Amino acid sequence: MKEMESAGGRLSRPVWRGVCLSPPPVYSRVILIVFFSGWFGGFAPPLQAQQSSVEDIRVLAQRGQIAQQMTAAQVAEARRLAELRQLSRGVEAAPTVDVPEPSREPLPEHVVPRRLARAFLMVSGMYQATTTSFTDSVTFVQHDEEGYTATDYSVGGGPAFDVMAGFKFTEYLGVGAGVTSFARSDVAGETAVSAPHRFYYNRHRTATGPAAAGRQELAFHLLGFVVAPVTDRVSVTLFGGPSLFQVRQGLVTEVNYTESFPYNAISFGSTVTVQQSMSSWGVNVGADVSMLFSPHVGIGGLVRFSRATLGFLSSDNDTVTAEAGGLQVGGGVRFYF
Amino acid sequence: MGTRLAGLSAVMALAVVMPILVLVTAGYAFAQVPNGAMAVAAVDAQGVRTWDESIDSWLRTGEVQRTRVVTDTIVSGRTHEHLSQYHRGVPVFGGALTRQQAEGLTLSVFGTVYRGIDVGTVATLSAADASNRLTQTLGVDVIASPELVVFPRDDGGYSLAYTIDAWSSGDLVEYFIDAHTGVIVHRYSNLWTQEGISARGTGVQGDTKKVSVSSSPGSGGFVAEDRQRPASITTFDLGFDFYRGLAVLNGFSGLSSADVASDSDNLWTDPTTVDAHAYMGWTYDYLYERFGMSGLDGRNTRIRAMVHWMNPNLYWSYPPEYRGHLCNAFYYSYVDIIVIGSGLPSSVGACNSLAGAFDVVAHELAHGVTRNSSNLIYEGESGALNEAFSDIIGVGAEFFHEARGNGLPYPANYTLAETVAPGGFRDMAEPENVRYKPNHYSARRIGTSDNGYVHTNSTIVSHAFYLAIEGGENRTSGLSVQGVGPGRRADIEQAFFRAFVYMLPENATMSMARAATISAGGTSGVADVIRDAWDAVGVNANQEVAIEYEHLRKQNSSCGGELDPDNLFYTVNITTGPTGFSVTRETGAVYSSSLERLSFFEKGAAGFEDAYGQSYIPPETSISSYRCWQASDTGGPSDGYIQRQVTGVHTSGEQVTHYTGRYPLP
Repeated sequence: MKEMESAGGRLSRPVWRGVCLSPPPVYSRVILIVFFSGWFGGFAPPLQAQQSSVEDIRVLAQRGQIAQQMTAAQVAEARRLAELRQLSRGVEAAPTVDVPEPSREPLPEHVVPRRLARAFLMVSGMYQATTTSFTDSVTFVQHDEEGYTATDYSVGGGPAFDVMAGFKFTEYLGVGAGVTSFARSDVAGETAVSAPHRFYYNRHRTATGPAAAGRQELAFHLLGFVVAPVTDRVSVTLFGGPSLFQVRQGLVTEVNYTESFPYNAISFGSTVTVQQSMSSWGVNVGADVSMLFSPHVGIGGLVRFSRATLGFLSSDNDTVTAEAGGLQVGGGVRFYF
Repeated sequence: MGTRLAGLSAVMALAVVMPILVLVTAGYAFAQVPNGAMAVAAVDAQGVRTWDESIDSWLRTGEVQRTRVVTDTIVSGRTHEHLSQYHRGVPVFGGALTRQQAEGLTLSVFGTVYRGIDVGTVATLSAADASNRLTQTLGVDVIASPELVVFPRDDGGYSLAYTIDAWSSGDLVEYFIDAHTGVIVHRYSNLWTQEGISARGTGVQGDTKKVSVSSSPGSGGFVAEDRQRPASITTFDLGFDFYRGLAVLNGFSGLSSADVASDSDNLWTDPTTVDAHAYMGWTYDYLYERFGMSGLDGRNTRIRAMVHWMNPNLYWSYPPEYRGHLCNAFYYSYVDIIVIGSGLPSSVGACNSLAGAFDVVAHELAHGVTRNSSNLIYEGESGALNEAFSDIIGVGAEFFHEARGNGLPYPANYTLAETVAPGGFRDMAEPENVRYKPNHYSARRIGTSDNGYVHTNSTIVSHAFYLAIEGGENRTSGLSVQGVGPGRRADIEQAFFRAFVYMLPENATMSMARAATISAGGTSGVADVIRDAWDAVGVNANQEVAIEYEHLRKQNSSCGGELDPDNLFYTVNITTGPTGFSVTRETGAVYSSSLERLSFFEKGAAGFEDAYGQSYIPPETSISSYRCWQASDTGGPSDGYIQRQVTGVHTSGEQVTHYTGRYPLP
């Protein structure tokens, strides 16, 4: 909780309690990013918080107009007098000092004390930086003998699109939801095939070649977050929560190869791929640093790590374990309401 | 030397200059053969040029005709021209040459041409008359149209004759009928078989292998017809219908799709069918991958096997002359099929289904390769070469598939058929270990049995093949060979394959095979190793001198001592070729049937001169000596062999030992 007071009214001067952050000077450009790992959950945004937030903004906006006319020296003087008044309370009556109303510098119009914003929407372009890989081996029976294909899948980094929205139910805590979309068309690396010989047992022929398979990830995030205002225009939001991943993965089920008598070697031809969709719960944690340029619009940088493990059903009915998500870094537009 | 020989009769002129050729070249030699035959194995530039010009001349006059030109599948750019000799438009049986060429240049010439042919070519009998006479006289089934040929007789003369293939008592026999008198001039079995023995076996191996079959849309089942290899490979199951099998072999009945071995669930459980079918495919693969040979003829002609012709349980119900086929396999050229015996009943002998021996199946198919290439006459030395080549392919195929890890169910080795008959049929490593087969040219069997002991004398050749790979000492000559080693097995196999398939003519001798394989050995020491191997088994380049026993008999006469009905009498004939021969040593021995030496003699030049009146024999000269051997010295064996060898120096300076071979005692 923090208290604010000003001459002739309340003056914005945050005093942090409970959260060990020392507020930087006004208008500083220091960005503080804090990563949280853990679980943020169990929030429920109170409706009255949203209503009071709107009221505060209006009142403070009016006072801000006054404050904007004060000079810095006037403000300092006003603070000193106010402190004297406060110290005198309960001790003895201090002589009334006629403190002249300081002239105030005008505050930029876009500076809105964000602690009073009750909702936000973050739209970000992301880059998924984590590479995940897995291998799928498919056995098949041919020429009265078992053969197999083994495909190495590597889900490399790539662009993603992220949208998050949230509501604060206290001044600093809130909940929200988000969705991240990520897709790559070249997730399969190399496929190896080991094909039985037509005439002889234990005389497998092998070949390797490229496999064509894609990956689409759609992650729905439930978020609990903590907003840490850094300045009136800059804040850090830490969030985390469960994620539901819906992944569509191409899996190589078959390799077409060519051969000719005496069939001692094969030439890799192409792969046959089927698309499989699987859903799985995972987690996500991250942080956002936002800066406003207007009362409702700003920009922000976002870092998130999300992860889920999925079990695809291979064409030979085996389960193929693969991971989705990863470290995502990006930024975009921020809307506050 | 470059004299053009304008006509075949000019071979006589060549014979005159031949001593000079032999003096100045060591690269080719002439084998002494009966009658007017002239055998050639020319590999040096001078000899090749002379023969090359002669062949070109004969081609223009029609005295030889080109029968086919085969492209060498092992050495690129080489072709092998096969030529047959004709006399006034009639083919001369056994008169054939092969000419190896590269970019128009001739590299070698092998073959035999006959000189001094003096017979007319107008037959008194028609082909139909000859055929009818044969049928009426012998009751045989003629299965091919007679062909008029000039037949070189053993006495040196020639007969105009019809050659007729006929099925006779379970055998395919080639008859030569005099075209004027209808008399049978000659005959030999043309059934290229695997020799069978009554022995004990352990059965088809019980291993699992893949068989390449086809679905049968009509029945919904599967048939033993390989459609995955370039050549169609089919296994026919006769269902132990003996007489139908006879009809098929006689050409009276064809095999149909209903005869193809089949299975309803594609889990093939008949071991004979499985092994026969699979091993045919394995042999095809070996020929293709090792030699580049597409099937048995290079053109992927169908390959077929017939199984379950005769039922082992009905052994005693079959005519005696057929019973041996139960423990035998043979290539039947007339219908291009191999027939695989089902084995013997245990009460008769230990012999399991021949299909269980991969080397046997490969051996039989190799006869098909021979049939479609050199077409080695299945008699005498060429017949032994024919058999040896099949053994070489059979053994080579085993080692090839073993090295590939293709599931050969037993260790590859140099013994034929040991997996179905204890001890096997032949042992290339130690030939004498199996029924006293010869390991040396001096021990080759002489006689008419088994077409001139083709299954016996083949081990001289196959033992040379073995020594060239594995090395070792020949037990008879004591000569050691440093083989190329198993790692270079392919070099030796390919040299022998090239020689036998592309270079040798149909009437090749072992001496020709020696020259051809050395020539095919090329460089890298392979040719030298092959030469050493032939030296070790006593097959010399120079076989000009022929030594023969004549009138070999037992007679109750005195042989310098007591009268004894077991005293052995005979005449020794020694004939020289183009060069003179000074004898320095003569030895002889009598052996029991188990090759125990019963008696032995040795003479020097003086002793030889005492016996023959001279120790130097001029060129183209025959000398004889009437000799005997006391039964008291030999024990008068009822069964055994007599052999003799003469060592001397040719006028060329070459020291050579010439052998009679082993003659069976009367």
